[in-house]
Amino acid sequence: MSDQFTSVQWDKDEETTENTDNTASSIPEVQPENEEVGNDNSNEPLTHLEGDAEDDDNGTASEEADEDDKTDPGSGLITQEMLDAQKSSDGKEIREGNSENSKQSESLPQVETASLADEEPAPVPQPGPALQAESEYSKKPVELENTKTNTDYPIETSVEDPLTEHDVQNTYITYQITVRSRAPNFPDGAFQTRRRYSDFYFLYECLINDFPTLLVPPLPNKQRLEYIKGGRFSDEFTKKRSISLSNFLHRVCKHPILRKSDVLHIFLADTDQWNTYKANLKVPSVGSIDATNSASQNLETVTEFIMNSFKKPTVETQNKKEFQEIQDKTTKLQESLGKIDHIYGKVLHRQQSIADDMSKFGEEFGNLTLLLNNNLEGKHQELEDLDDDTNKMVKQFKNFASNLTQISEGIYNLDHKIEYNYLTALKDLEHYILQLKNLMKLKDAKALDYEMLSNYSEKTKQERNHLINGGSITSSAEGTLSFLTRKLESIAGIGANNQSGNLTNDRIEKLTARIDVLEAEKDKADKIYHQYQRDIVTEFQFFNQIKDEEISSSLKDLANYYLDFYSKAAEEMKEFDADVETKSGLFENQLTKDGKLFSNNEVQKNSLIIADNLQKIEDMSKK
Amino acid sequence: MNFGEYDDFTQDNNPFAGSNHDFSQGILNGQVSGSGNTSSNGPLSSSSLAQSISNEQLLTDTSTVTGNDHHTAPPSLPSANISYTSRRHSASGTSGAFSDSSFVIPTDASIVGYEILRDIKNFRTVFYRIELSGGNSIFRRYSDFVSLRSYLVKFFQTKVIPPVPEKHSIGRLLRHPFDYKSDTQIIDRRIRLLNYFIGRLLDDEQVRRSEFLGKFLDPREKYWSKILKGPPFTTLSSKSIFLTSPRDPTAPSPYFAYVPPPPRGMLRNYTSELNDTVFKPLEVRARTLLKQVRKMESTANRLIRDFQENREGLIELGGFFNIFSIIEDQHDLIESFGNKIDLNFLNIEVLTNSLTIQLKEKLMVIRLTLLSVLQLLHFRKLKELQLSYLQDLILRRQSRLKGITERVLAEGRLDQVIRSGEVQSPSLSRAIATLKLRRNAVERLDRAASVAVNDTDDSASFDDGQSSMAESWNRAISASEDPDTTNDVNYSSSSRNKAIERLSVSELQSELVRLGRELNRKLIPCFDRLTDDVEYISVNVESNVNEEMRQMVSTLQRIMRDWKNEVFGEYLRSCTEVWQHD
Repeated sequence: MSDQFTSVQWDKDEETTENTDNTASSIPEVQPENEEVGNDNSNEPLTHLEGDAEDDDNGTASEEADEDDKTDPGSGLITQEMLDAQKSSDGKEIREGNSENSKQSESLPQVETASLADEEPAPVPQPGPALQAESEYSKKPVELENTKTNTDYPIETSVEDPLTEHDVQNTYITYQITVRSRAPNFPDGAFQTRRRYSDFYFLYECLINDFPTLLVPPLPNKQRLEYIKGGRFSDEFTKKRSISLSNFLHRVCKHPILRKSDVLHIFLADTDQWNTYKANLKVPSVGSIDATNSASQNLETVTEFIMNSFKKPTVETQNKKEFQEIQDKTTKLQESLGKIDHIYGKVLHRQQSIADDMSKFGEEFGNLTLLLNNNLEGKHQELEDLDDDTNKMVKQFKNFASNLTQISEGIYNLDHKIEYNYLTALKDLEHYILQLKNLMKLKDAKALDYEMLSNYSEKTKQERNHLINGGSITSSAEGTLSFLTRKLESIAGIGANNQSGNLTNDRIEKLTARIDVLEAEKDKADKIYHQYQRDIVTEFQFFNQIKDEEISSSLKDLANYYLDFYSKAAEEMKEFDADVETKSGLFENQLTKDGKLFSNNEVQKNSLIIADNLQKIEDMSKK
Repeated sequence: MNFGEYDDFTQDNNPFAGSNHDFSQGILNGQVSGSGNTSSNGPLSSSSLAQSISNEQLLTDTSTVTGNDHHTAPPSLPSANISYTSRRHSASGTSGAFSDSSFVIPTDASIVGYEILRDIKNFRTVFYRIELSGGNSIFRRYSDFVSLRSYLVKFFQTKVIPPVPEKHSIGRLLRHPFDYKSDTQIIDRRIRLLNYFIGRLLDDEQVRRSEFLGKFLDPREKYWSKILKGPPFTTLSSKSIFLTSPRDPTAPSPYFAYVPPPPRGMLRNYTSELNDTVFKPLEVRARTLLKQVRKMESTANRLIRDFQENREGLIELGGFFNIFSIIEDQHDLIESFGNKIDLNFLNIEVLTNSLTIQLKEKLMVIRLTLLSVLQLLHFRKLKELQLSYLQDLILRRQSRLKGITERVLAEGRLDQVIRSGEVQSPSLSRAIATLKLRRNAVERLDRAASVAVNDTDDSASFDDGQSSMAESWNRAISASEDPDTTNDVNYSSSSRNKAIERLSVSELQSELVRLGRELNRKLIPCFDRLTDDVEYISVNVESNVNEEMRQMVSTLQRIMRDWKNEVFGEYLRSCTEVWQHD
């Protein structure tokens, strides 16, 4: 929502341009998010600005036609979608780094010319469209509650089985959605559809547009998963993404308002209709991700907004305690989840080493059979050539080795499950919190809008009084009136430099008209602000429910993963036969105790010869 | 020597305990003295032998004939009457057997703890408390065990003596310069491994009844270093293991005076049929296993370390879940999960402990035992080399002696021809006449030489007369053949390196006597003993090594069984329970 920008710009345009520049720099990262590289990039912000806006207008108008007609047939002034489109195109411009002024002069004419021609709505320049849009917002939830197009039935969904598909130009991945619901517009029992990421994204954008004050669950995006090796088509990426998408859909279906939305029902059940809408409606093109409201920002941009929002409370009226509490709770939860994620990361890393050790240990134990089936000449003997007892022992060692390998694989699977399911769930929950916080900030922005308007209205009143009391126009520029007023005047084409002194009456008239408009807008802004306040309180309850449910179900899953691993490993262990006797005749002795080892004894032979010689000598000397 | 003696040895479980097995007698008689041949004879005969050879300097090694005073001491009285501590070790006696009746050899001993006490030099040291089956207990320090083992290795030369734990590594000492001695983990491990050591020693009946272990486990002996100052330890420590008898290394063994120590430099290229067919394969097998066990040990170490680090991670995780449960509303669920994580890490603690004791330390024992096995095989090979070296020595002397006898015989035949005189052939007569002339010239030379060189020669005088010449030969022969003769004569040593053809008659005689005596009295009996020893060592080493290898295989099987039933199986079972419980 560009309202955020609007209000910020009112405050201080220099910094905003910087900020938006930052956002602009993050765009390239968001851009490749789009899965079709060639296709959808046609709605490049630069080239298709106005066209987009118009297209969007038509497309969404037809989609939303029923609702609008029923609830507010007269107020067909500017449709929700058109305004949104405009705002999103504003957003785009900002990212392109255009100065505020040029942006407004470019984008204004559509609305401005029309309204000026009427002369009816006073030419309150920039806030106009935004406020009008917001007045539409305020009706939205009420509308929906009244329409009840879809009766409230629980819907169970799951997303799995990522599949790489190809068409003529592109390669993309589709995910299978399984739906179970007794809702009358769904087929009986479970049914399946395949959707790609861009479908989810389209659904998300539609929901955001349709329910701006509600907490629409965030979508997983690439930035969050890009640390994964192997790219977009890797198993790891698509599996994790399917889990995240499953979480997303699950949350939408848990939300008591969102789950009744037509968009969701068409998304889930009617592929043809869905594709028609998607093909003709390019509003929520992926390129127009709005940094304030979508799930696409990374933490850095979030902190940026937090920084900005820190500057506001000085202007803002006091928050209710509830909001402070929501703020505190979510921050705490966020920290906790971050911490658990961090510790689990370490634990998993260690478990991975254990799995490696186990498999290595198994291998080494297996090698010990060398002792048994290598005969003394070092020749390897096949199992068939061994006697039964040795064979049993060799098998024991081998079975033990494979048992260790099984354990190693078990640990690996456990790690895998924890990482894919639990840690992804944690990250998704963190994301959900961010979404909630953004909604809070939006609410703050509304408060700021209101304050700005009342401030401006006061100033205008002062100026009028001044003029009535005979003050000059040029001197009216008091320090406090600031650049803000002048800027607005210049935008509206009524800059002080064009004015001459004799226009005072005219001026007073105009100022009066402006004050009227401003007062009206002020009231509207107040309403919107309160609408946000009310909605956030209920949304926080929904969020809490969903969050509690997610925490408990993910912990239960986690406990089951552990149980599965330990019980399975224990079963496998039972099958290993450890009670094999050591073969009694193993390593037989070759030497026997009564065998002569050194039989051919040269010393003895020599002794005999010598003795014989000596005998001869003796005999000889006797003669 | 015959192999009957091996039978005696092996059939009797305790050949040393009877005090009759006098090895030294075997040197002279070539047989084991009967049991009636009491111990008093032994030392006398051996001492006389020792005396008889004491002034001989035949081989370069004289240091082995030490302790003559010891051997000539009066034979010991029946040992039962002499108090254990004051009893003098005698050669005849116990051969290391422990036979003090006032002290019962413990059948069981185990280390139950340790205390830090002051040693004999007043340094603070860790002493291990050994509790004996009799109810007594003694204190020994680590180095005492190491020292005991070194004596046992020397005494039981064919046995695989169980290993003691290794010393602290230098690295460890550097890392923990102050507390390395009191590190309880190290001490606990040492206690376990030393218990294995003592346990295995007590399992071996021969070792158990030996004086070495007896003294080690004697509660009256406070300081091991003092025990070492008395026999049989002094006897053992003064000698090289290669110069003692494998059957009774403490027995006096004068024949080792003539045994050359094995020339280690020749070991590398030494081969023999016996070594190649029997012992080389044993060595290869032991080395293969050693290599494998080393790998397994390091994997086991890494496994334990990784489990320990995993445990740290789980402790942190469990702790954090417990905090998380307080922050979050779903208190119970998160808390119970945290508790499960806690239980899991406690299980890992048990696991790492049992992995250390039942896996790592068993592998460690196998590795150290394999090192002992390889040492034993090395010793046997050196022993065989020693024998082969001695044989070469003997063969060289024998060939010289043979040469001398052959020359004497040739001379004798010549004399006969000359004396027989007239032959009915003018050409033969002329040849005889030439021979006579030459013989006279030689004899003149001989006499001149013997007068010049042997001024103080008090041996049988070489008269010109033929009759006295014959007599002198007879005397020389009998002198060379009879090992018991006491009227020793000094012969000129100048003749030793002369070529046989150039020896004079008197030199021939003196060489004959010298070589004959050396061979018959010393080298050949010595060779017979050594042959017998090497055969004894080979047979026993093979059987002991094979037995030890079987033990190791069964230890490996035990490791697998424990792994299944206790170590990892238990871990899996208790973790399954942890995660099941809800």
